[in-house]
Amino acid sequence: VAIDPETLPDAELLMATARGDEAAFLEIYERHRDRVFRFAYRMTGSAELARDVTHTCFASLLEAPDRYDSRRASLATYLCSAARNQSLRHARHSWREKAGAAEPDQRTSGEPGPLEQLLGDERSRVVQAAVGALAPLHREVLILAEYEELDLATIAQVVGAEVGAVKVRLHRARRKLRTALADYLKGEVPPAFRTRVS
Amino acid sequence: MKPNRRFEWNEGPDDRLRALLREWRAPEPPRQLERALAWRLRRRNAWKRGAPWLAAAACLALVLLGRLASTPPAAPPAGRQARDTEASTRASARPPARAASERSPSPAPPSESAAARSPAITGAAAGSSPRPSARRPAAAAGSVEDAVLVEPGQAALLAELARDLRGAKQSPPGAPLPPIEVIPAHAAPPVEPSAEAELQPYQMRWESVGSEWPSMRRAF
Repeated sequence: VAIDPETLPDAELLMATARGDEAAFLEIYERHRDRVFRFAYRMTGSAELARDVTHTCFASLLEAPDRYDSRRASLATYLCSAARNQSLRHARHSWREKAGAAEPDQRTSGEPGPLEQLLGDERSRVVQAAVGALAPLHREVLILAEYEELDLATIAQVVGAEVGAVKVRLHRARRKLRTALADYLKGEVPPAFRTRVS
Repeated sequence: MKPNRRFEWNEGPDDRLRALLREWRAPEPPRQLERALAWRLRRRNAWKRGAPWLAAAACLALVLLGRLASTPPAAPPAGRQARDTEASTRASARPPARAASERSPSPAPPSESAAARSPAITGAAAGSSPRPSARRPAAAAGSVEDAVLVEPGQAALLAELARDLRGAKQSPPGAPLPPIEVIPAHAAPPVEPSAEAELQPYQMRWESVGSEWPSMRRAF
């Protein structure tokens, strides 16, 4: 009887991957690739580096699935932690060079007009530069909290720190961003964004 | 804020910052990444399937190499070692023949012993006397390892010395030494007329066995 990989939990999919089941591995990849790639992209500031980081994370999972212990954390947390380690290795050298030459974003839906797109691209570059200017320890907790919407306990697992330390880092990161983006924070929240998030 | 609390949307100052931060969007992961990982998985599966066969082949090769290493190496066919082997083989093969020809040595007459001591007779024996072998009695009984190869002149001298020692009696302790004959430097060596006649049987015997003596290729 063929079992649909989409119905299996991550641990069983990983066991099937260790046995050489390609469908199980592709299901794991489909579930977690976006989060790992987004996090790596925001940590490194480069889609190319993010691709390398994502490939390394899933390849290490493929080569040594025994490293993952389902009793300690979820597979998403494990992959985020691996991506964080890989990204920090790259980000130390490449963030500042890549921040000014970011790739154009791929807008998915609700394409605005040319002026709005121009303003949006400018805000995107400014935010990218401001996030990239943060210290890596502050940047990673901000990305995990604001973009990946992880709770503090999971963030603490990913970064290997106490919850209190994560709170402090997040507070400082927000304060620096408020200072860096003060000019853009004077205006109101765009209604389009408000509907998209809600 | 509680550890398991997520951020919720409201109209606070942090929400403005959050809205601005979300202006930065991340692209989608490239599709070739999935293909690369799938190819890597297939290669790993193929390697896992072939690993037992590879291990078995490696074990078989190690066993064969071990057997080849345990066999004794072949002897060198030529070169200096071959020459040494030839010389030692010849040395070990000759003594039985010599022992057969000299197994029954005739006791030397007293006159022969006296003639052998003279310089003239010794010089003739070195040149044309038959080649007696100098060896211990045990070697004469057939022991091949005890044979000693010497020059023909040395063999004759050693044989004469052995005969002299066999026939001589040891002087008692304290006996006076025999007088030493002093010969002038310019005096002609004494020639005994019977020396040629006494050497005759030796020469005849040497002519019969002289061709059997192998050529001496190197000095001992």
